[in-house]
Amino acid sequence: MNVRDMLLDAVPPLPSPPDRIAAVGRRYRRRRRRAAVAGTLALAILAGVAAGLPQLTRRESLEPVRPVGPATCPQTTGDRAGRDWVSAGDGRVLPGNPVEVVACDLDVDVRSPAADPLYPPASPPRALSGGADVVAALNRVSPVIACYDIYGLRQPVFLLRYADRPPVFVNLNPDCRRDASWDEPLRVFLTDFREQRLRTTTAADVPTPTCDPTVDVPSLWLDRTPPWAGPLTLGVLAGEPPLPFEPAAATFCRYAFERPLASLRTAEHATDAGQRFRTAVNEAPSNGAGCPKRTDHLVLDVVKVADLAGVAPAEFRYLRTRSCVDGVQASPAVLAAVDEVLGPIS
Amino acid sequence: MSGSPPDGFTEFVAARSDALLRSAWLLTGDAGRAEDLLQTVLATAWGRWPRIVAGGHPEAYVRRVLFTTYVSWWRRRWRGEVPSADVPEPASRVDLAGEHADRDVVRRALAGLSRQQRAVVVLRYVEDLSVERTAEVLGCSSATVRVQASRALRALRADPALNPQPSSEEVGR
Repeated sequence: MNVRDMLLDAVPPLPSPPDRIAAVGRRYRRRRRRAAVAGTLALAILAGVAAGLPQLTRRESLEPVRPVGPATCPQTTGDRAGRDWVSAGDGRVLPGNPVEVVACDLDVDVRSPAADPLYPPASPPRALSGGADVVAALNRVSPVIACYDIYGLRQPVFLLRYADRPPVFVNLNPDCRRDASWDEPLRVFLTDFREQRLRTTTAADVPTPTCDPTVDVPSLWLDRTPPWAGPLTLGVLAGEPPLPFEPAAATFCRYAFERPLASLRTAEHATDAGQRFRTAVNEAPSNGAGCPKRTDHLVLDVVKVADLAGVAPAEFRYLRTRSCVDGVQASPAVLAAVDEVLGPIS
Repeated sequence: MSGSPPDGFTEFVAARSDALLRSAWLLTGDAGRAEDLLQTVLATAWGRWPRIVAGGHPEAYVRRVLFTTYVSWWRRRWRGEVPSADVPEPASRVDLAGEHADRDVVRRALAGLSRQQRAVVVLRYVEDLSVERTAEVLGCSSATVRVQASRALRALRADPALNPQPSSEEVGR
């Protein structure tokens, strides 16, 4: 049975009043009388208390619940800074009433990110008001089977902030053998965080993405981000299309293809065209792999799309040639959406 | 104008009340509150009826007020009027136990959703509105509608007593 049938079948026979119009009329007239009385009273109250109102409201305003301790993310796994560290899956039950949960992207690699252009971009700290669902998901994480110090570049750490106790860091080590319950805290966090953003952000709050003046070709990733960038950086959940939300701003950049630096030739801001690009790229996600055997690339096209829920502009890169018979190309619809703004390649 | 209903209002109420009341019940899960919600909305429409008709889509307008009034209830303690004095007993109280139990399962499952999720479910799957129209009615973004619809369906699927299947067009959205 589908949802519609299930819901319609659930509606019982509903009795109607003998004269609904009369009942509605009574409500309407009562409402008008109340509105008239309320208007008169409001004028009198306003005139009477205008002078003392500021002090009155100040006294009665409720102090917001303030979390205890700093909201600072740790820089390394050794950065304990007097805070309580917990490893997910160790069986400790975390208090379920946080005031705020901050997701941190912790460096655990020995390389220096700043010196390595291939290092995935770090996610800035992301703060979620409340976050009881995240704590519940953390408390459901299964025990760890074993951990290895092999792959780590970055790992998510949740900072739980409470009103009545010191903050707690919860470490989700991606190098541990684990089950699907380990993916849930991040999934729940991102779902709630994006929803919070959708509630609190307007299109005017979203900065229009800008084109970098040059792009370093040797370190160029044709995918939208380096492949190991996690969902905290991308803001996209597993199984979702590349652009799950409507664009609030989109910028199209075209670079002359030169090594080692491709230089910016055209930059266009076009939100409507961003919507058409989104449709095309969601239907045929592509990393614009180009023609691997060709070296006569003409231009590099970069599309940056920001949305209300997005944590950072998504970026798509396409290495363009006149024709491509031996490689994987982006779908024609995607390239057409790009060319609609930037013009045909020449 | 305040004594008798405006032109066309009585005909509208007669023609559309059943469908609106059905949606109101799916939102509230209670016949008394559904009638209360409907009368509240119709009383709002009464005073603005000429302008609503001039807008060209009176049913869309009233439906929008119905859903936004319902969603706004959570922001304040409900102080609505109780219409039970005007609501007669049903003509027949013969209600098979099994049928009643089935309805109760759905009613309880809906009660587990947030107000906005219930509104999204009813608009999308009962009123058959698109994501964009649902967003317009509720005054939120399309993305919010998708998120809320997805969460609501997930919650309903998780209910051991229910196993709702979205229509084929919903799969993959």
